[in-house]
Formats: sequence, structure tokens, C-alpha cells
Amino acid sequence: MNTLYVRRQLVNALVMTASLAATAFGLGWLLWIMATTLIQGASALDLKLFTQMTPAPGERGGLLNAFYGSFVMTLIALVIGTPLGVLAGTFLAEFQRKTRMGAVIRFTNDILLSAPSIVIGLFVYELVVRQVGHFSGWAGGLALAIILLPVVVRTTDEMLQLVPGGMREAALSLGLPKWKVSVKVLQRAASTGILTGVLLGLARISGETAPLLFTALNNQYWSATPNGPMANVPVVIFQYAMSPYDDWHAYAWAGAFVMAMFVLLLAVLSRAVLGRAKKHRP
Amino acid sequence: MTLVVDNSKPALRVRDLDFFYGTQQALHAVSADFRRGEVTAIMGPSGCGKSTLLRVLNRVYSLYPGQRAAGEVSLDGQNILDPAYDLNALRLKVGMVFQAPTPFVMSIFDNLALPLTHHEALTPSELRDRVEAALRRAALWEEVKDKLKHSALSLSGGQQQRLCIARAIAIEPEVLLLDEPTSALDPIATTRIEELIDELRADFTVVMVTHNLHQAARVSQRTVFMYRGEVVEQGPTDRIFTAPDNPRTHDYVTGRFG
Ligand SMILES: Nc1ncnc2c1ncn2[C@@H]1O[C@H](COP(=O)(O)OP(=O)(O)OP(=O)(O)O)[C@@H](O)[C@H]1O
Ligand SMILES: [Mg+2]
Repeated sequence: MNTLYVRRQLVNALVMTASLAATAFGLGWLLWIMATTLIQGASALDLKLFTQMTPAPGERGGLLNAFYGSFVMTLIALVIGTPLGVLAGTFLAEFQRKTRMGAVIRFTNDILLSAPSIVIGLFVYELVVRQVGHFSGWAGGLALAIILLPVVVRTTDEMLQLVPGGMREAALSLGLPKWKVSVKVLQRAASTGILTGVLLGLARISGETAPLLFTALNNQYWSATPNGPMANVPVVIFQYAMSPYDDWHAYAWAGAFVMAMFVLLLAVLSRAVLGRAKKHRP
Repeated sequence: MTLVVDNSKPALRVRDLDFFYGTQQALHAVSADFRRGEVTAIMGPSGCGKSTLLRVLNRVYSLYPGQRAAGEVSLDGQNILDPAYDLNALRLKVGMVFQAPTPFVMSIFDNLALPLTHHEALTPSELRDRVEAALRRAALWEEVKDKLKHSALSLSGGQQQRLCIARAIAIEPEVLLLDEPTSALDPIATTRIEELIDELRADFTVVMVTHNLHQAARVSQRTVFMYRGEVVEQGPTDRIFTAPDNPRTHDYVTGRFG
């Protein structure tokens, strides 16, 4: 009896230590990355980073055009990817739950979800850039939308399946047609979960480089519309980091730091949204 | 609302109803009548098919591809099991309240406004009146009149259940199905809902599943007693409780069911 207790205590202590070590190991990398980018980019991290254009080597400047380009292309991706993804996810969860067609679509969606993003970049390059004849922010936004889409489809599908069946039955029992039940009752019940999925998808696409290299390329200057090549943070980081100039390196680090912070914030935000939703469950 | 109550003709007639969950048969040749102006209690041991019978009466089971019913259930002379019968029209006539409260994730007001505005073209003031009337009938108005815009999830379990009843009666169905509506409620809320059911009887055909013998005796006029997917006995509640024909019914109503 007593030895069993001691043994349990011992095992408990061991497992606790191992778990803590694993957590520290994971978090350590994150801290290291954040610290390195912060220290290395410190010389370029000031207000000008957000107010001036990407500089030529040896000059002072900022990353405004890159931030703006990333923002515009992410917005395009959101506007295309979110409604399509929510609709497709609703179709899967509410109309193809246990069907063969549903299984095929889910499988296809999972393949798209894990497709290398460079493949999607090449695809949009062939589809849009080659047809139109030049790189553009539209093509970049489209490539990002294709990456975002399967994330939204999947979370919508899963979150709708988690809505208690009683709610669906109750809504149908009021004589509401199925589409109205899906849109007005079920999507609303699952909305925080779906929002979390969109935020996580957003975090994912905001760091994508490969698909943008083939679609939006880059732009040293300000471009207000996505009609031509467009600057964006990941590609600028790539280009500046590969360059031989020390001051460009600093801008690359600073850009990387801002991106990492942004993604971290998105992740925390989506957690918070989900946490608040859980508290409000009946 | 004035209604000519005709007790002689059942509003809902079930004949030779078989029901299957996949290959498992849950109802065997069930026949029963539900009359307008009366509360009919469905009783019987757990798993005997009470909920299953209710779920056939508004065909909510047809949401699940593996489930199927055979036989006849006639409402106003039409067989609702006919595949051509419009499901949304059926459910407008046959409302259902489930055992666990099912508030929608929206405001208290919108919970009622959603079905109301779907079925009827109402001006905003008409809509408010209808919502208020339904909440009053469900004995919830006094508690929620100052917080109609609050989330329905902020209500207590008993309040949520009354909200679901209000939602079901707001669209004025002909038949109201209640599956153990008070099983999760405290005695005070239970009393309120029982009073409500008694009032509703005037306008609706009420079918209520209950495990509570006293409740059945208090609120129902007729009782259908089921056992293992079959109707063993049905008749006026008084008689079922005092002089049942069937020994099983007798054992159950005297609490000697093993
Ligand atoms: N979704 C389902 N799939 C398969 N079988 C089911 C399903 N739901 C119920 N059954 C079976 O059908 C029979 C009747 O179930 P039902 O839920 O109608 O019983 P009940 O009388 O309402 O019981 P309770 O008083 O416990 O609610 C039971 O044997 C049950 O196992
Ligand atoms: Mg039941």
C-alpha cells in the first residue's frame, strides 16, 4: 500500500519533469526566434519601418509597401476564401455528413490542405500570371485564398458537426427549411469555432513566401492597387536576407520580427475567442 | 382564439406503425389516437419507444437516412408518412419540445422571431406582440421582458425549457409534442409547465411523454401505455390508473414494475 503510493509519487514527479522539459524545449525555440529577430532587427525597428518604402542598399527606409501589399493580398484571400470555405464546409457537414460524396470531398480537401504551397504558387502562375502576362497582387491573393480555403472548409465542417443534434432537430421541428436552419441557427452556434479556423488560416497564409514568389513577385515601390507586381513581407524578407548588404539584413530581421509577432497575436486571439465561447456554452 | 372542440374525431391517428433504426425495429404495429382538446400521456418503461413514437409524429427522424417508418399516421385525414407530404408544412402543424432545452445561440427575442418571421409576414409591432403573447403563455414574460436582447443561453435550464415551449407555440401548431418536458426542472418550474400544458390543451392537441405517474395523472386526459415497442393499453387516464385491463399496465401504474 505504502510502497504503491511512493511509486505513484515517483512516477508522477518523473512525468511532470519530462512534460515540463518538453514544454520548455518547445517554448525555448519560440523565445530564441523572437529574441534573435528582435536583436538582429533592432537597428531597423522604429516608426519609419511602418511609414517608409523599402530602401535601396545603404539608404534608410521602411517596409510600408511590403506591409501594405501583404495586407491587401491577405484581404483578397479572406474575401475569396472565407465565404467559399464556409459554404463548402456547411455543405459537407449538413448535407453530405455520411455520404460517399462527402467522404471524397473531405479526402480531396485534406490533400489540398497538405499540398506544398509552392505547387499552389506554380498553379496560379500558370493559371493567371502566364495568361495575363504579368505578376500581380490579384494572383498573389488568389494563391493565398487557395491555401486558406481548405483550412476554412475543414474547421467549418468540424465545428458544425460539433453542434448538438438537438439544436438541428429543434430548428427543423419549427418548420424551417434546411438551408435556413444551417445558416441562421447552426452556423451561428458554430460561429466562434469557424472564426477561430479563419484566424488560424490567416496566421498560416501571412507567412507564405513560395506562392507569392510566383504570383505577386515583389515591388520596390508603392503600388496602391493589386493590378501589378506587389511588395509583400515574406518575399521582401527573402530578398533582403539573401542580399550581401548588412542594412538590408536588419530590415529582413525586423520584418521577420513583426511577422512573428503578428502570427503570435493571431494565435493568442483565436485562443481567446474560443475560450470565451466555451465559457458561454450552456 | 375560439375553437370548436370535437373530441369524437382524433386529430392524429396512428395505425399499424412500424419503425426501424436501421435493421433494429423499435415500434411494432403501434396504433393510437390523439384527440384535440386533450392531453395524451405516453408512458412506459425506459426504452419502450415513447420518444421514437413522438419522433415519427413530426417526422424529425427523416433527418437520419437509416431510420424509416411504415404504416399510417393521419393528420387531418392525410397520411403524413407519404413521401410527398411537405415536411416543413407538417412541422408547422406539429411542433415539438425536446427533453433537453434547445435554445438557439441568439437573443431571447430572436429565438421566437426566427420561426415567426419565416412563416408569417409580420410588421415589427405585430412581431413584438406575437413574441410577447407566446412568452406570456409560456409563463416566461415577466422574467425576460427586460432582457429580450440578451442571449438565450443566459437563461436558467427551466427558463430555457419554457423558452422552447414559447417558441413552439408561437407559430400556433395544431399538435404539440412534448418529450419529458419537465424531467430537468425543479418542482416550481415543473408546476408552471404543467399549468401551461393544461391551458394549452384548449387550443392544441397535446402529446406528452412522461415518466412521472403523478404528472400523467395530473395533466392528462388519456394515457397510452407502451411496452417494448408496442402499445399495451390506451384509454382515459382515470381508468388506466384505477382499473387497467392489462396486468403490465397495472404493475406499472402501481409502481411494481421490475
Ligand atoms: N438513434 C437510435 N439508433 C438505434 N436505436 C435507437 C436509437 N434511438 C433509440 N433506439 C432504440 O429504440 C428503442 C426505443 O427508444 P426510445 O428512445 O424511443 O425509448 P424511450 O421510451 O423514449 O425511452 P426513455 O424513457 O429512456 O427516453 C430502444 O431500444 C433504443 O435502444
Ligand atoms: Mg425518450
